Amino acid sequence: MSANAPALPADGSDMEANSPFVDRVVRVIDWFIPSWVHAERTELAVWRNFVFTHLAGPLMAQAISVFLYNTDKSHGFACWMMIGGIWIFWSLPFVLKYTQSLTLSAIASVQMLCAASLGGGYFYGGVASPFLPWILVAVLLGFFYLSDRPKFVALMLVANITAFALAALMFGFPEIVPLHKLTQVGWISVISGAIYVAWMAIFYSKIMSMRSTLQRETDNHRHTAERLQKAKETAERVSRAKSTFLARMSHELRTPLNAVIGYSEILLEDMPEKGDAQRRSDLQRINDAGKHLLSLVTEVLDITKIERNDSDVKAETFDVSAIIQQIKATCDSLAKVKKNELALDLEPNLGTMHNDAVKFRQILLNLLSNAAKFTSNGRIVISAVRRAGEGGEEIEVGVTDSGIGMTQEEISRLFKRFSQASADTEKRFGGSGLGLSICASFCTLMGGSIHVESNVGKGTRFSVVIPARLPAAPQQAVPVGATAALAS
Amino acid sequence: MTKLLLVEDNENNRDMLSRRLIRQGFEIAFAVDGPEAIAGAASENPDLILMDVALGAMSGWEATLAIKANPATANIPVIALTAHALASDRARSVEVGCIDYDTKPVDFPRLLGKIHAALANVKEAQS
Repeated sequence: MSANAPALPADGSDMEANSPFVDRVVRVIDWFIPSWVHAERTELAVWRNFVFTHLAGPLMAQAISVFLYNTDKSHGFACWMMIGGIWIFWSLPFVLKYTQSLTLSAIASVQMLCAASLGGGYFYGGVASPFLPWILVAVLLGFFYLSDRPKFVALMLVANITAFALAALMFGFPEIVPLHKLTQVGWISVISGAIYVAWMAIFYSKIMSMRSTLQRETDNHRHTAERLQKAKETAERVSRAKSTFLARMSHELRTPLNAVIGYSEILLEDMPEKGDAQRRSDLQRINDAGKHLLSLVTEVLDITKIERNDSDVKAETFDVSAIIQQIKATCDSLAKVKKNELALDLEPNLGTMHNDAVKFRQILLNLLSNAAKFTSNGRIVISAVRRAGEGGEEIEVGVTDSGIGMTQEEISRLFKRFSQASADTEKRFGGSGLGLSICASFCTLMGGSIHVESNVGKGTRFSVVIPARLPAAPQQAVPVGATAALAS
Repeated sequence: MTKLLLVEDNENNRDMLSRRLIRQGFEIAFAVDGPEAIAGAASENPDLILMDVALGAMSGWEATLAIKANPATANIPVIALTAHALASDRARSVEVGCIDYDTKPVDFPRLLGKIHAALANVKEAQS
């Protein structure tokens, strides 16, 4: 037993280092312990210790059984009471297993140990009995396993000792075996008692160090959690401040931009038809740049609105085919800039839709302006079909171009904020990189999704699937760039 | 000559828009805030009002409500000019009695079309 003493894992984490023999012992011990105890390290160690001491203890005490049987030739009640008492300790691991209560099992154990120690003392040797030191083990076990109810333990011990004293006073000690014949059992009893107490003391110190380690870990975790919470609050405050700042800035920027655009238009209008071609082109550039800047500023405003979650969805009923034709008319001139053909491929019975028309229009305008930007001397087709989807009817609108296309890697970056397919896209084609992430957020708000397929050099197809009727549940705006359904 | 009341607090925008409208043959009266707009609607008797929504203390919506509440000016068509094409702005425009709305920055040919349509609408209603 002493050979095993330091090896029995008081700490679950020691287990891996144990020999196969100890592993087997631990497996046997764990058979008695309900699985819910395994979640708590110190608790598990206490339960394991209980099972181990109640399996090994009675085994060690068999020496006493054998000795008593040989010494007490009368083989009377006292002899069998002691032998039976030792054997019955083996039932306690089973009591633990089936009651799943360490408290109950420990009470039984302490009471049985008191009875064995005091009973043994009464019949064999009285106050000088070699069995009496075990009452100290009972005290130790009682206060250890039942540390949450010390008064109860004290009462139990007092009651037992009182019973012992009363019996001695009223009937005296029977002295079945002369005291000098108990010398051998005295050695066994005292040595095994010492081993037992030593074991418990070592175990107790292990548990204490485990608890203080746990305490330190808990403290560390709490500090980390507090720091994280603070960092999160700061980040949210900064993010809110940033959104507010962006919204205000982009609003403030619009007014002077209006002047740049408006006055350059006035100057263009003032120019005689056959005027200075160079000056006309210069003015046109100022005007174009102003309009471009304005669209960037507007996108920033849109994105901050989505971030602050105040981009609400207004459902109205509209004719799908009519709105697509309007959008096409708006984009005809845009498509011609790079000599593209803009065509429609609409299913005849598209019917009406009850969803956010403004967002629907903006999604399509964004996709078309993208297609027009990345395609030249090509063809852009707007297609639309109505079909049954998971949550009712849905409209799928596709924008297919024969433009430069994208690689898989470029596609994966597409819907991220301020990110374009590739770093040199911005240099070559301009834009803020916000358009597609706005599209993705709007699609989510409308209960739909956006998909993209692309082949480098052959072209790109964006498709938007929107429920024909806005789903009843409010759609949470997905943080821009976080997700977008990417089917390719 | 058709007279327009231009309600706009930004000097640049006022100057720009008025010059382009004058060139189109309109006569222009100005107002720079809500109270001036209400007073101007009564004293100038314009054929149409272009109302900037974001004005200062009194918003363009409130001014429009006041103009529509006065029987002398109630029949003057008002076109709201808003900074964003928000559905809520459009709804509010209709709610306070505007005949139409347009977004800023102004797409001049489009705004011109809306002005002519609104005027034709009123003329039709009168005849």
